[in-house]
Amino acid sequence: MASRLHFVSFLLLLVVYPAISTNSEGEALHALRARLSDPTNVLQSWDPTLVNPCTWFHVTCDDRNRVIRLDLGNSNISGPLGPELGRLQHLQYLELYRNNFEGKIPEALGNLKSLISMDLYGNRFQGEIPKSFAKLKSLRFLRLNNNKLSGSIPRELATLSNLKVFDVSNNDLCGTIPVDGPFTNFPFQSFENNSRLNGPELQGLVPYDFGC
Amino acid sequence: MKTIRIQPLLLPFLLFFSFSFLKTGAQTEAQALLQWKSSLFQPDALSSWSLANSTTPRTWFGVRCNSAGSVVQLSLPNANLNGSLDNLDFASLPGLTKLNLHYNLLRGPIPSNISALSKLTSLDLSSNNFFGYSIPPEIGQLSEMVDLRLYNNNLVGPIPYQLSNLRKVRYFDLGYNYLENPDYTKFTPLPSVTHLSLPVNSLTGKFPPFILNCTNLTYLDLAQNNLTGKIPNSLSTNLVHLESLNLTFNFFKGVIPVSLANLTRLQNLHLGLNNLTGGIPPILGSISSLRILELYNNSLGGPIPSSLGQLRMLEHIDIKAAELNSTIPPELGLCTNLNYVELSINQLTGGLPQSFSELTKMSQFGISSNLLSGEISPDFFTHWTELISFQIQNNSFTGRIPPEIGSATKLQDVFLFINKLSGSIPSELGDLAQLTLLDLSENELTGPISTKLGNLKHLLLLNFHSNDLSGEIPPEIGSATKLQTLYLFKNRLSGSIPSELGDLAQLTYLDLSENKLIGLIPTKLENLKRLKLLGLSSNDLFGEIPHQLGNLASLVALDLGSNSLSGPIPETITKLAHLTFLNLENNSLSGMIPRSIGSMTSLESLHLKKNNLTGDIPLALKDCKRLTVLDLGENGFCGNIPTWLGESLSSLRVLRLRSNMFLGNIPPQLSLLSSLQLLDLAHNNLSGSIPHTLGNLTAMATNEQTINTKGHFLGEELAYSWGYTNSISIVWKGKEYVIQNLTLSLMLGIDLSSNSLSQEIPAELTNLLGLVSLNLSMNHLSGSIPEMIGKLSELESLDLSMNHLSGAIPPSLSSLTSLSSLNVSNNRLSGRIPSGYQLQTLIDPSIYTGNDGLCGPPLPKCSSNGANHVQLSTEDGHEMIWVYLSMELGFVVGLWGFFSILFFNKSLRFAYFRFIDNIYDRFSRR
Repeated sequence: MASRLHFVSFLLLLVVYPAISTNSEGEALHALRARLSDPTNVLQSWDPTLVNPCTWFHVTCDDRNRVIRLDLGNSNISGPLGPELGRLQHLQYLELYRNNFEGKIPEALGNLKSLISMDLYGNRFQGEIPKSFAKLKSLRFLRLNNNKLSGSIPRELATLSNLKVFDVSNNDLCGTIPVDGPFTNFPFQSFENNSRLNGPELQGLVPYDFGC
Repeated sequence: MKTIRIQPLLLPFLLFFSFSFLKTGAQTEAQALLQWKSSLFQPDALSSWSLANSTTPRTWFGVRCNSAGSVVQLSLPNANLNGSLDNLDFASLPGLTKLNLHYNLLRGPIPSNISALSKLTSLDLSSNNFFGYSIPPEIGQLSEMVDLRLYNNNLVGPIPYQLSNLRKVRYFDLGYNYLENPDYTKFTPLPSVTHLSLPVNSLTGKFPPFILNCTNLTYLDLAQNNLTGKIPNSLSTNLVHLESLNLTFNFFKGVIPVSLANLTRLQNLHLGLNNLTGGIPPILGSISSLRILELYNNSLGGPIPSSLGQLRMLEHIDIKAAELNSTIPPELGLCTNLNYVELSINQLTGGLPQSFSELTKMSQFGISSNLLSGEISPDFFTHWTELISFQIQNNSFTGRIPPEIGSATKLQDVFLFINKLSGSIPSELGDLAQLTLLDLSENELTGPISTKLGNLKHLLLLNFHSNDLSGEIPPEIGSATKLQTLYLFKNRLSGSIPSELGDLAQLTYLDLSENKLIGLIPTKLENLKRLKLLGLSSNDLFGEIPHQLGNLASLVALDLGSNSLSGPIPETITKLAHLTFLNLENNSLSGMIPRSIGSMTSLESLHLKKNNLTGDIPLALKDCKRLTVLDLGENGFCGNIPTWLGESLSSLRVLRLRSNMFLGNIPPQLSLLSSLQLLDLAHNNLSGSIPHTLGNLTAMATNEQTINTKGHFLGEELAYSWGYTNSISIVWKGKEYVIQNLTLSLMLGIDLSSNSLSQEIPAELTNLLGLVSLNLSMNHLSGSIPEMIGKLSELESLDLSMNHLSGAIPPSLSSLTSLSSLNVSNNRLSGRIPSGYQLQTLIDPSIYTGNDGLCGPPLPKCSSNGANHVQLSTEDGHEMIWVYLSMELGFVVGLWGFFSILFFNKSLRFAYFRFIDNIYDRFSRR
């Protein structure tokens, strides 16, 4: 099939800027890309002129062309995440592990209500674990290990009843470890090497973030 | 060569003259002139120069003598003189005051003995070709010089500082050479010069200092040099007589000096194409004499100052591409002498001021590629009676195209494309008898196309594509006989294609795709002998493809895809020797590919998918050596995949034979296709093994994603000027997508699914490091999954389901960090599913089911005797182990768990005790 590029009349000398015609999810990903440094051109295929991002590499859509996966593990990418990622309402897998992402984890990731797996491990994220993660009711895998996260583990995460895997080891977290809900099942390895993390919370005895 | 031949013939005459007429100066001068003439090649203009004609040069063409008979002027501009100045004996012309040899074909050096012309006041050697020679410093000795013009001569080297000895020079033009900076330390200011012109040279560094002391300058042109630094403030304090200042196309940076406002006589200010910043100084509005203001292509930023409205003399304003980000000030409407407005490619917002309707001299108006909105006032067209060009494309204008546009009867170019204009196209456009280019594409225009457009006898371009136009294509269009481009694609036009389009003898580009046109393709189109592009795709055309299309001898692209065309592919089409792009896909064509297809040696893209074509791949296709895309998918083709395909079609990048009835083996020769990026042989009856040689497919063997990014796979003209591109259907992560352009250029994939392929998956396939998609499902493949599958690091989609694969899933699979779609179900695989990295995100059990021996997450846990397959291949393996271990043990809340953690982990234990200490400390402080 022959289809058309953004058409520019060949008779004109005037520049016409390429328009972004992708949908809002594509725009969100395009905005993400704009923040990032991608020395190995992993994001080269992200063509903003396409109707949707479903044929972009490292992006997977469902049958209704909604983005359900973002697979950028081990891709030598650096830079911060932005709130625009929160617009991927149908995202199930956010796989950004083992890169050089930095800065804070955006609160807006708490809007990814379909998320099943969030793998941000092995990056340089700083700041706190967003409390908004407590909204991710479908979340089963949350791996934030090997970053530079600080602050306490939001107690609200104990409400994530589907959470099966949780790993915040090798960060700079403080406070106490929740003991409710899914946290009853997580092994200590999930918390190790946080020098200021003060052991499981003693219910009813002291405030949760005491000493943090 | 011929001049050498002539000279000996003249020699006796010269000797004769030199002895007989030596006595008088006039005779010497005549002799000198004749000697020069004799050195020129065919000096037809000098036919009057002959002693037979006159013994003194007084009556010779271009020569003026004084009363004493001595030559005082030699004026031979534009005389086609071909030769050099070497043989012009300046010493014999001591009385010469004016020498004009402008626009001849003189070469060689400017002789240094030109200094002998001591009375010379005017020297014009401009527009010759003294290529590679420099200006002789001796010109500096011509102390009477008032007017010196050496421009456009390809002179090189520094400007001799000796020229600054010309104390009387007023007009000084050395432009359009390759001249370099003079020695500024020795170059004194020229006190008399009023006109200084040095454009298009190789001056470098900061603003030439001597110029700042040429205080009588009225005209200064330094355009197109490599000057850097700031525009000096002293320019405006010292050169107060300036009327014209041109610094275009240098590297001047910094702000536009506000002191320019001191130049109260300035009429022309050209500062375009520099690196100026800091906005437009509002005080420029006080230079009331200004007629031309050019600031284009600078990173000025900021607003258009409303003060520019005070420039009542202003005729020409060009501030294109200057990062302006304001509204257009209504005050500009007060500049009633404006006839040229160019404010394109900025970030201007708001609407067009109504006051602009007062600009009654407007001739060319360009504000394209801004962020302008609002409606177009009909008053512009009723008031701007001189309007020739109206370019407001690529903005966000709304509303109707005013029917009053018909009043601007001198209009030639109307560019309204890429806006949000709605309503119908005014039939009054048909009254614009001078109209040449009419582009209304990419708007929201509705209604029919006016029959009156057929009146436009000068129209070259009619571009209405990507609107919402309806009704039929008026047959009257066939009367616009100069039309070269007719683009009506992407509308809702209905009815049949008028055969009158066949009257447009100049038509080169015709694209009516993506409408609702019905009926037959008119055979009369065969008259379009200049047609390069015929696009009729995505309509409801039916009937056979007229064999007359074979007469369109200039055709480069023929796109008839996605219609309801039936019958055979006419053999005549194969006569189209220039055809590069042929798309007949998605019709109901039947029969075989014409055996004569081998004559289409320009063919690069052949799209025949989704028809009812039968037969085999004809041997003649072998001669289509430039073929890049071959898509025969979804037809009834049969027979073997020919071995010559790999041997002959070495440019192939896409080979798509999907869903046919091909049988036999996959020829190992396909591996010779070193550019192949997509190989889709799925859904055929292919048998035998997958050739090991496929591992040699060069283009797939690289994971450097810097391969050719021109995914249109077409010539530049076809792709960029005509907007055409190849689009290919692929199955990607279990879904069908159409990819093109960038995505197509990057996609590397093999799909051999749904055949009867057997034996092992060749380990060599794991050499195809760039593979993004691999589908071998629904075959009879046996053996194990190649151990090194993990080398395919770009792989995103892997389907090996429904085969007879056995053994364990190789642990290396877990290193495919881009894998997002995996299916190994319904095989005979066994052992524990590898874990870690990406595989732990592929948790849908159905991708593993139907393998009786597989166990481990996401399938049920492995039995104890299966546990010997446990793979801890990555550092993250412990996570999965721990999840399930923890579930199994049913770890409990409470002190037991708490203490067990303390017991096992030193750091936590330590932390806990410090925590206790903290509590103690706090309590004790209270």
